[in-house]
Amino acid sequence: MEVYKNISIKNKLILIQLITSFIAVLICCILFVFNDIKTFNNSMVENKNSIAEIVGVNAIAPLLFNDKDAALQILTNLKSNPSILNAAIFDKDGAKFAQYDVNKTPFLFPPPGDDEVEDADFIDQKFMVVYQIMKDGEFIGTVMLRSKIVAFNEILINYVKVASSVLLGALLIAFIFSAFFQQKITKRIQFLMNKTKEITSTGNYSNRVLIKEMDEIGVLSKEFNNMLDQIQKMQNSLKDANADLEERVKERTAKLERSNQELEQFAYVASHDLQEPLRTISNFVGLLEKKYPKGGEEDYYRYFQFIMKATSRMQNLIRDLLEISRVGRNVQFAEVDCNKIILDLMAEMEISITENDATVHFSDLPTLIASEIELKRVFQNLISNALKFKNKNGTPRITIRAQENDNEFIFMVEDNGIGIRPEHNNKIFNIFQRLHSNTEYPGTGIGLATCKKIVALHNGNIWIESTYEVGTTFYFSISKHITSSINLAT
Amino acid sequence: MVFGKKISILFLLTLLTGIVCAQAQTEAEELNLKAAFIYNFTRFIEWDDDIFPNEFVIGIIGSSKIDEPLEEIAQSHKAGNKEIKIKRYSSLEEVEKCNILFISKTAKISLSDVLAKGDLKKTLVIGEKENYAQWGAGINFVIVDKKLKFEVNKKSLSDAGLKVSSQLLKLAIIVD
Repeated sequence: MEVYKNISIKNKLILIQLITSFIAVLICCILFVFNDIKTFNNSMVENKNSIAEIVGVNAIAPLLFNDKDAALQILTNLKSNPSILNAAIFDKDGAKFAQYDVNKTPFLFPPPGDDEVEDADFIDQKFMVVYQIMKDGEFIGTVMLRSKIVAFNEILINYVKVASSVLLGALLIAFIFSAFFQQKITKRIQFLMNKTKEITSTGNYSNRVLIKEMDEIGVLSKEFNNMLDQIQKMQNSLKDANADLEERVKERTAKLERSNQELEQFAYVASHDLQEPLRTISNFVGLLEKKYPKGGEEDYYRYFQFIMKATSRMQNLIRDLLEISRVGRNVQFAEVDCNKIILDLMAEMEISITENDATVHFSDLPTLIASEIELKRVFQNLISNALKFKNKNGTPRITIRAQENDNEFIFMVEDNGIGIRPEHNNKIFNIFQRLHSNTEYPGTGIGLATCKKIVALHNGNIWIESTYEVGTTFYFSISKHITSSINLAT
Repeated sequence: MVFGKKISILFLLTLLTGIVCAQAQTEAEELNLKAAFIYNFTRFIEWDDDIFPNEFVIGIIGSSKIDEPLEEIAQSHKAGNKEIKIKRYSSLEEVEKCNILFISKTAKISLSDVLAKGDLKKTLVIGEKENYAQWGAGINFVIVDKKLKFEVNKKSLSDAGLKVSSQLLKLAIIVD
């Protein structure tokens, strides 16, 4: 049954038709054989009956003239008929008149008038016929013939042979015809199947199945087409929706980019332009400061001090703002030796390093593709931070290391400063974010935001690991695959 | 041993009587058979209806006890659809037209006289003497191997205008 389940409809159809025709032909053959055997038996009995009648008619004269020799002669003539085994003639009183036994095997005939003998017995393949001899309406004797059924088995074998060849022939013809006719159905199913496969593989839902006959397969094809219609409609509306969405996303992105650019432009222009009046204010306050020196009239000098401090802070703010808005402008990536950057930086920052009594260690830093100016600014910010947030009871110690993996370089800038509480880890890279008061640790809160922006420009990340009052390690990664087309707006 | 003698005489007597009786019995049987044969002949021969339209006459010439079984048959049977009549004749002169004339072996007549008689041109003549068939009788009874048989003279029968069934001829001893 498992085998049957997986064979194709085509073969199933052929199989079913073969079985059907086999059964039909088999039944026909059986019926014909039975009928023929019956006819054969009947004709055999008929034949023996007519032989008995001939014998009977011929025996009339011998019976009437009491001529047993003549009667025996008549019976002896039966030896030409090979199926007859025994034959006997009885007179009208039922006394045996003459008997002839083929092969000298005598048979005791039952007395005439016994009804039982009249039926042919096909079981032991011998049968008896009885004929009553009449002359002018007068009963004058009986003929009995005992006969074997000639070659009954041979005839049966012959029938089986014929029946099996008829069966085989019929099966062959049925096979040819069913193999031919099943195509009418299976071809269409296969066509439908191939069409389905084609549609699923190509995704071309505009395909349709051609319908020629409106039978079950036709209905199936029609419904298949309907389904395709629906899928196509759905696909189209999905496409439309998708296109619409994309259009909107594009629009929004463009808008965002525009506003971002505007914002940056604004920040840049603002910080740039703000510097000029501030410088003027600063210069003139300087002049005023000289005019009203320390220990002079009133507290002017103190006021000038406040103004100068505020101006200086504002100058720092504007400078940092300008810096962050400059990140990504006219950036140029080139091969950069990080060792050289650090050495340069240490030279530039010599004063503050010495002031703070700090040490900076670095070793085997890589050479990589990056923007030298920007990368230098990151290191500068991080080193400045380390110097600024130094532990009050110790000297700052800064260690710079780098690791390389398949896709990026990871830099570590480690210090032994005041550390950061874990809850602030994420805040510190936000612009203007400050954890301390300006009097405690002066700063603009822009430096780390600038670092983050620069690292992002290099397809990298920045993060920290810190233990409060023990130290902080800044990590940042620089990708080996910097795309020059990176959107600078972010 | 007088007694013994008597017994042996009695025994002999009884034996003799037995033999005589047996003889008589076989003679009667033979006549019965012959009578039956004569009747059966009527069934295998096509008869000329012109002789008697309504009856079938069997004549017996010479004294013979065959008339008794024949009468018996005549009473219970018909020849075709005709009544059978038995006629007894003691001399040839008495003989009239008949279908069958049986010449008993006791009849003191010559066969040629019978055959010459005009009335009997279409009669089946049946005899029971040696050579009767050769001499012109249609049928003649003979005993062969202690069995009753009959001879047939085909020419005599055809001369008498009688058609004999081949079945009958098969059993007959054909004589020319």
